[in-house]
Amino acid sequence: MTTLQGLLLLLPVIAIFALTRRRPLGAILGMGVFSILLAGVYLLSHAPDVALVEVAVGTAFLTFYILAVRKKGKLMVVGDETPYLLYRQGEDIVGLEHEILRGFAGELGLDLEILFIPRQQVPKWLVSEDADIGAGGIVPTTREKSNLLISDGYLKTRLFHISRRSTNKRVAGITGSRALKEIEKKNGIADHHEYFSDLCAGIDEGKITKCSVDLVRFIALKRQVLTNYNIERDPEDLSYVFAVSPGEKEIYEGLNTYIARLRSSGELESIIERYLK
Amino acid sequence: MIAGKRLTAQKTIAVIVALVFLLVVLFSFSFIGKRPGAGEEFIRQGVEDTGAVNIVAAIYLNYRLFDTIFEILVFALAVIGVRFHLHAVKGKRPALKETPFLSESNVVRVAGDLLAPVVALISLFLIVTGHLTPGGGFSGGALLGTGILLLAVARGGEQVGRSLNDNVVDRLEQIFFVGIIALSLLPPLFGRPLLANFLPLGEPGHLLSSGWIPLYNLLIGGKVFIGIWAMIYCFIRHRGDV
Repeated sequence: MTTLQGLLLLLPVIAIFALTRRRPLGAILGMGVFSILLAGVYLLSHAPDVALVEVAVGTAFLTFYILAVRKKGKLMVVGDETPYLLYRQGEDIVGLEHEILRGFAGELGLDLEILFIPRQQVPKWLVSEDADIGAGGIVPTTREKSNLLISDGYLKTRLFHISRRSTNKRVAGITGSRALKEIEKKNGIADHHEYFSDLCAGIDEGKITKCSVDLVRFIALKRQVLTNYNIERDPEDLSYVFAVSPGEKEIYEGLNTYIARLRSSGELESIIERYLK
Repeated sequence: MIAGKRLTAQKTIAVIVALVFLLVVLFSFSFIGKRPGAGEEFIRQGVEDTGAVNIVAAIYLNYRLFDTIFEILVFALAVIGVRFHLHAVKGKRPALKETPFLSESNVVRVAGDLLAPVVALISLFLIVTGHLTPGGGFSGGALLGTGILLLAVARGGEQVGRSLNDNVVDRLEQIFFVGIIALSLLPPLFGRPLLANFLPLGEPGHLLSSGWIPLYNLLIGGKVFIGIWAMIYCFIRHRGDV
């Protein structure tokens, strides 16, 4: 078997490899190898001119595709670090939401990239389309007022309003929490603080006078000393959701079907059990 | 999951089509070198007729110049198409960023700065010696375009775009294209038929030889380079980044 025949036999193999890749990057690499092999075929067929063009154009397109995939091949997730749901463990990011998002990204053939940002900035990142999905224990208080796409809930939760106990102004604390709720309603998503770690530190030092937190954060906070605080349980039944960038209708719909499928197959239940029980 | 099923079916069809196509290619390649034909005569007469040592250049820039002119037309149309459609796309145009994300890595910037002149030199060599060695306007121009893409990645598309003025790029593209067409229409003025070389052939193997083939290589190289850059710049402007 000559080299030429060997290369020719290799071409369909590489082509099928490139065609069947799920991840765009794998397909691009397959195409690059295909292009180089094809150039070799041209060279061995006494067509060095064509081989040169194939190499030049192949490389140019490779660069183009890689540049395109750099933006489009990623599922960009932003959110605050959240206990149980999305948190760091050593070098890795783990958690319930991470498990869901990783499965979803794998289904889309995208690479999952997670960036921790203060919670207040999540809507801004999503609206500017710098990120696709906002995560980190997002609890929608009103569905209509926000222009973000809000996915179906995957876990039930509740809000807890905590306020610093002061001997003479108990009533003020309650009205304060109501005012806070109004602000939250305006933003569409319940929350207020910067990073959750800042909130923990603030409560430790006693600087925070009042705030409201969702269930998992409340559980995490309970490990700290909350003796100086009044705790008010919000009666409204809420659930954790993902916020999706307004421009990403397909991701929004895909995420909803993915969550629904996880739920119906019972997988969601087992993930929740693994992290929260 | 009907959508998922349809996707798998599409993929299967794509694989089958690719397989069939590649079998056809394999099959047709197996005939190489078995059929003597018109090619023999070109190879025997080529150097004498055109003065070009590279017989491929002799064919596509002399014997079959008519085909090549239309190939250039196809390329020019592709560039026009990209420009027209990216101009027509209204709506949100992302703000231009000064430097692209990639160049935050110094490796990319340094490698780009180091490699770009080398790439430019090699492509110029390919263009200038197209009639002597494998190469020519198309491959040289494409390589030059790749080189400028490299620069755009390393330094930021906007910076490279600024140094290549928009109007100058437009004008140059027109000049190259008109030059190619005009050159092919000139021969009747010198008493030669259309698309026939009217410049002296010179000594085969020398840099200044084989009539108008080097001139065509220069024009085509310039046209392809400018065209590729125009397309890249359109994409950069549209995406707001490289």
